[in-house]
Amino acid sequence: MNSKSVIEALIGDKLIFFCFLLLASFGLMVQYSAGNHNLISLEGQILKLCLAILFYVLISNIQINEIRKISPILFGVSFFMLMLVPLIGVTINGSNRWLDLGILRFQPSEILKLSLPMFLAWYIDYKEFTLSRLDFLVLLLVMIAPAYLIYHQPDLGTSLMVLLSGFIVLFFVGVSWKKILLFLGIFLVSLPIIWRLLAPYQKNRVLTFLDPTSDPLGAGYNIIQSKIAIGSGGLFGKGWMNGSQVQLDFLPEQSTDFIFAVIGEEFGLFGMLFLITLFLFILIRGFSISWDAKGTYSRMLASTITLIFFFSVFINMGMVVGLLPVVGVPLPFISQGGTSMVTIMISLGILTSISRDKKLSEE
Amino acid sequence: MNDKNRYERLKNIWNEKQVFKSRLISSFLVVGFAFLLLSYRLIELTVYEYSELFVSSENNQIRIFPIDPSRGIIRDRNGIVLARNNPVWTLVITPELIQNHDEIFIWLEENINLSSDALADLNNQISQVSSFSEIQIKQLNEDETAVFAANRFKLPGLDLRERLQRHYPYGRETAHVIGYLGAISPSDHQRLNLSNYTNGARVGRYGLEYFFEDQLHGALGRQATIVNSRGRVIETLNSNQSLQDLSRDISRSLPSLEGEDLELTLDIDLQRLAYEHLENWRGSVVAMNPKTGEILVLASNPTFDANDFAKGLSQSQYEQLLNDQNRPLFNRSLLGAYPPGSTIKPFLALAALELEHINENSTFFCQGSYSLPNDDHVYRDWLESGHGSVSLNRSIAQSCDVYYYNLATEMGIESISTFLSQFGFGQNLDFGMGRTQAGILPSPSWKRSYFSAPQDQVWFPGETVITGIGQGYFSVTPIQLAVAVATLANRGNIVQPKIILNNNSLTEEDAELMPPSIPLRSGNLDIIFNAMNSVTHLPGGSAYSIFSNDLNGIVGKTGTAQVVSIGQEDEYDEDNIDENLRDHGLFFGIAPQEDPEIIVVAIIENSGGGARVAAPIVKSIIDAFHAKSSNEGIIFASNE
Repeated sequence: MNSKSVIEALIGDKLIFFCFLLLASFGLMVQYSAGNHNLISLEGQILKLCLAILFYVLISNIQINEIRKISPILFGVSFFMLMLVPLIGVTINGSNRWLDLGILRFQPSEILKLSLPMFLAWYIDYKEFTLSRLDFLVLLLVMIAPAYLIYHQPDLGTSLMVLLSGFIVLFFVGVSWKKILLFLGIFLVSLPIIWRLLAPYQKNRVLTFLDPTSDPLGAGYNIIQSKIAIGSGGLFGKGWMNGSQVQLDFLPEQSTDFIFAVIGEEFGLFGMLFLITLFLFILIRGFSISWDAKGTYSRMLASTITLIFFFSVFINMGMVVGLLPVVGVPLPFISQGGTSMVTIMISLGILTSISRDKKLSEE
Repeated sequence: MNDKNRYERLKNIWNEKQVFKSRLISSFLVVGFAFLLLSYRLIELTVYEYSELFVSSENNQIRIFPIDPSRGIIRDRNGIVLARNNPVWTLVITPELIQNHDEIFIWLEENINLSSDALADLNNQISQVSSFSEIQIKQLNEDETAVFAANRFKLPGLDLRERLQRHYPYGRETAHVIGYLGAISPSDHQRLNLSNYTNGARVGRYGLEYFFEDQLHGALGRQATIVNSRGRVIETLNSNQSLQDLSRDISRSLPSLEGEDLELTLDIDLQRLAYEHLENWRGSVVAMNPKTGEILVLASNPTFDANDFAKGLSQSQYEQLLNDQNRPLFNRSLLGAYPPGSTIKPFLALAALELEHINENSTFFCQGSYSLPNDDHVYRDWLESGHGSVSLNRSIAQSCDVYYYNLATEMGIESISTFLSQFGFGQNLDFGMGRTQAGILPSPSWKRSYFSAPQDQVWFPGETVITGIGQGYFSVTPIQLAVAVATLANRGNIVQPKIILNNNSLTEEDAELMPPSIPLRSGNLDIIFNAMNSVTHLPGGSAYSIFSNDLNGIVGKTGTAQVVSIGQEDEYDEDNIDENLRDHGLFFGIAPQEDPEIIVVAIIENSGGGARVAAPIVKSIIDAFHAKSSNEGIIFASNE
């Protein structure tokens, strides 16, 4: 291997890697501003960042065929760990989501976001795309079981994301529009039942979304403050480390779920659009890799990874600007926290591996 | 078969690819649409709703703290301070600054007189409030403040906060005039603009502090600060600093506007002198400049110390003052109604002269008593043996009662009350200290309006008789009598009493021109003044013994007001009568006789005849006034 190909092997996909670096650096800057200008707390984040890059480089250099082969095992292991959470999990803030492996704590539910579509793609590929009704029932069961466990942690956001990742695969398999509409119909009809199953705080979030002013100091506080932060930033923002909403702690969860509002307040509309553009580059790259992908498994997985990435970004931003109810979903690469970043980088690593597979086959 | 399978599979794959690509395109469109929606929402927030949300973000972080204005200073006519604001120190503790909790508590226990309950309570508070908020511990006295100042460096967490407290250097002598401050009460909600007051502010509750609240208070300032979401002050903004040009006025700091000072007409030297004389008596002394109406002395005893109110009176202390039989909270000068007694005689004599019922040489014969025709009721003269043939001059000098029984009957009650009402008797005086007691100028019409039962409304001739010596229903307040005397001294030019010294005060010429005046003949006034001179300077005059050595040309009139009526056959024996039922002594003095500069009224409860206690007080005050104005005297009071 010459040096050029070594670098290529390391960075994998240039566009994705470049955008990722820009986003992660931007994220560090914003976290510094939102987190009381504390460098020490950034150190941990930088460590996780390096870990994420390491995973990306490793995964992107594994042949997609190998990845495909271990997909069912990966799903099995992650599902097993998910089942362990209620038994030996760590409870933080009333939710039991974490497994403590001594050196690091992580959320098996985050891995399910990836391992579930991997398994589904593998299964469809294994069946050579001819799926019987029974197969569909199996697939639905495989989707619902982990989602149910995660919902009980409780973690509605991740549970919905896992379910969504499954439906995305089914969408790309080519489930007819008729069936999709049928599903939507069933979903709408069962809304009242779902409503009853929701915990009070979850009901509150939905109610707050419908009318934030109904409880301005309670449940509506977060969304009102984040709108104020974004709106008061105007076109160019109040400047880095100068946002009053951020610096005076009016903005809740400003290092994690609401970090997009920090960007809005301190960097303005253009800061937010810059961020969205970087995400769009990654997404467009994802779509193009999906378009060119070879084989059922690759196509399914590449397109699902791309759409999950889109939903992660959009649900977070939609929540912060008040388009969607508040669900605890972090903004990829920008929010503080390791597990979701590592998971996403692994998925982008797979995406890169798929794009290489295509290149290899062309040579 | 194999081929067919293979073909089916290829077809399947081709199908799959077609479906996949169409699905990929639709999802790409969804993604594009989602980002368009998001971008529109962002533009909506940052462009269309910008102004509104920017104001919200300012409202979030700006907190306004009110600044108390400093209350106006009150001074006497010579600039001597009667009410000022003294700093007092309150010990406070800020939990987050505490370095050694135990050391602080040991120090507090040893040096500041705090009960163990109070210390436990404080400890409780420290653990409950947010760490940056200040907890008030106690107001320190001077010694404690000094001890703390010396030890402050080793007690981080403790600090002193200054607050201004009203202080009255002559708290007892000015209490009835200046009054005192108290907490805002529900009744103040109508009277005051409460947005101009901080929580816990003290407002005028009594006296001038009450009536001049608006001037004295000033205007509340505000301190704009930037706070975080927990209310901690991050930054203090100065008055010309605002967050952005867009910000509203309310976010600017504004200095408080000091209250206006008040300069009183009082002369604190004379005021204190009056209180010295009043020390063992209940009663009132009022002194006034008859030309300007400026009140020099307004004393009412017993009194109280207004500083007790400034420091905060306990409920029991307040009730003790309230229930005191001598009524120290009662301002006798303005509200005490006393029979004028013989002090009314010069006014009646003047009335009779003006209405030409008598002339200077008219006489009545006094045999010691008087009766109306067809009535066996006997009206006695104070001198049982009688005064014999009495001239006008002697009727005033020796205060002959029978003379005025005759005069009153001859004049009739209507003309008496009409004439006297010109001097302000029976009327309210409003001179900036609220409504005063109107007193009673008896007349048939007054009786009709006062009593409801028809049999009570009848006016009896005997009531006219005793009106002639200022008894019966007749009652006046000390300030009312002072105004009447000042008007007399001012030769009929009606005097408006004044307690506030105007900067652009009227010159004496202006005062003389001031309408309205009572049309009086100068010769008649001279007759009355000469008669009042006989009271003080003619041997046999009722106050001659007091004024025999007078050099200041004081003229005046004694008065004795009966508290109980003596039975027809009974003797008034002062020594055998309960002190509270003894006669009130009255005296008014005018000096000098030519061109009067001061008048003084003294009404001393249960002191017996007017010459005994009241007249010497009047003399002493007029002497002091002259000593001061001729620069012979010593200035008694000084600015502390």
